[in-house]
Amino acid sequence: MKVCTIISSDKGGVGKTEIAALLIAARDRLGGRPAAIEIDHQMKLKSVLGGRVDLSLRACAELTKVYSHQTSVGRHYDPVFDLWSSGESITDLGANVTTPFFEWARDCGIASLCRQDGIRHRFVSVASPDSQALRAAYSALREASAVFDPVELYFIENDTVGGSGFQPYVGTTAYRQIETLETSFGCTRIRIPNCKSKLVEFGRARSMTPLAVLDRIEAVENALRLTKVERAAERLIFLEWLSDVQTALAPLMMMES
Amino acid sequence: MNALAPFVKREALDQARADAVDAEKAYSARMADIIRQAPASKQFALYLAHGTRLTEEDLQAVTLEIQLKSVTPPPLNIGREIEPYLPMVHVAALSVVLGAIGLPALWLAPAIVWLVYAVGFGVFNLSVVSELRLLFALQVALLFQRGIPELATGANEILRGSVTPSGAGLIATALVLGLTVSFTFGESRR
Repeated sequence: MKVCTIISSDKGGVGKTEIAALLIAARDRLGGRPAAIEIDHQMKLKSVLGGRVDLSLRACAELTKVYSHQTSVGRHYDPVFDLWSSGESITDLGANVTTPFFEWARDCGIASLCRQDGIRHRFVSVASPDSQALRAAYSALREASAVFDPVELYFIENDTVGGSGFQPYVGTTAYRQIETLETSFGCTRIRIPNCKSKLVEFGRARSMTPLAVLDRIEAVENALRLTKVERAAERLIFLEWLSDVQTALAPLMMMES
Repeated sequence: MNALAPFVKREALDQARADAVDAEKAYSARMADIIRQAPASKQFALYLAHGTRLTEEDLQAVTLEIQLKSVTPPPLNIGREIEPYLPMVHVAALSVVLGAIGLPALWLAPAIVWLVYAVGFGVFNLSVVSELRLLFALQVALLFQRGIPELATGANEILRGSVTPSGAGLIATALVLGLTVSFTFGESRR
């Protein structure tokens, strides 16, 4: 089945790459092995997953060329479409890439090509507790619903700050707009809790995904010089968070609707 | 279930929970032991610092123990209780003996006691006898020697406006005695 999952947010630092890496790893562990694609001038996914990334495009470097001529646009993004057509794929869009990405999809008739090829889109918009991130998520979801058909919409509330999380934003215009998408477009909301684990913080500081931390958990615990009781407590916090994340992301891990 | 749990299996999570509970219990028991074995002066500070990490059972045991210690008076140590009064007793007893054999007990008795204590403190490292206590003993001995009637005479001289040297000495003695007693008891209470 050609399911194309696109993870986006025009706001940086909301956790797109971490979520993309988790989804890729989840599908790998479940036997899927999706094509891993990133369009990001920072190439963050590649710095985290290395050779596992099948295609890494520096979007910003090519923007002038992309806008100058439609043929160039098509040539630049052709490999992306090829990978989408090859089967299951996960695409991580960097910050400020969402708008040119939609322009490419619209201007080059990508949506109709996808329909012909039987590609089903899942558009995932990620936001952290931040007004700008919420507004960017809403615009991206609206745009995705207009460009792709069929498309499943997902909104991920990624609590990157802790404390009250998204609670202060409930009732704000940006938050209410996203709620309207749930009723009008069947957008699915996914909540990822804040992670208080020192193990994950240690990993993030070293470009390690939470799963890379899990694979080397004893080495990370040793590096943090945790006592026996801290070790047990931190491991529990980490595993409970990871378990919550896998439960939250379950709708995106399954390829059947 | 496995289809939705590619990262953490339920068994691994259960094991982590059990390990965390065991580690917390072990920590609690160790901290409770440390608090129990700490000197009484440090016990409460340790209790405040680590009490929240103790299990309910250990917390109750430690709290009860600290409470019991705080309400139980220390065992009676007769030696320590009478120690402040020993110089006084010694001087008084020696004064009686010296007076009985016709020696100048007023000055000789405190001098002998002072000498014996100083040698004992210096040579045998006996318990410290403060100078205040010796002074107290000296003044008590003076009162024993001269008696209350003579003190009354001194006071009478002052009231009449004709103070003799011996009367002034007695009044000064009484004042010093009062101060000494208050200092001595204040010292022994600390």
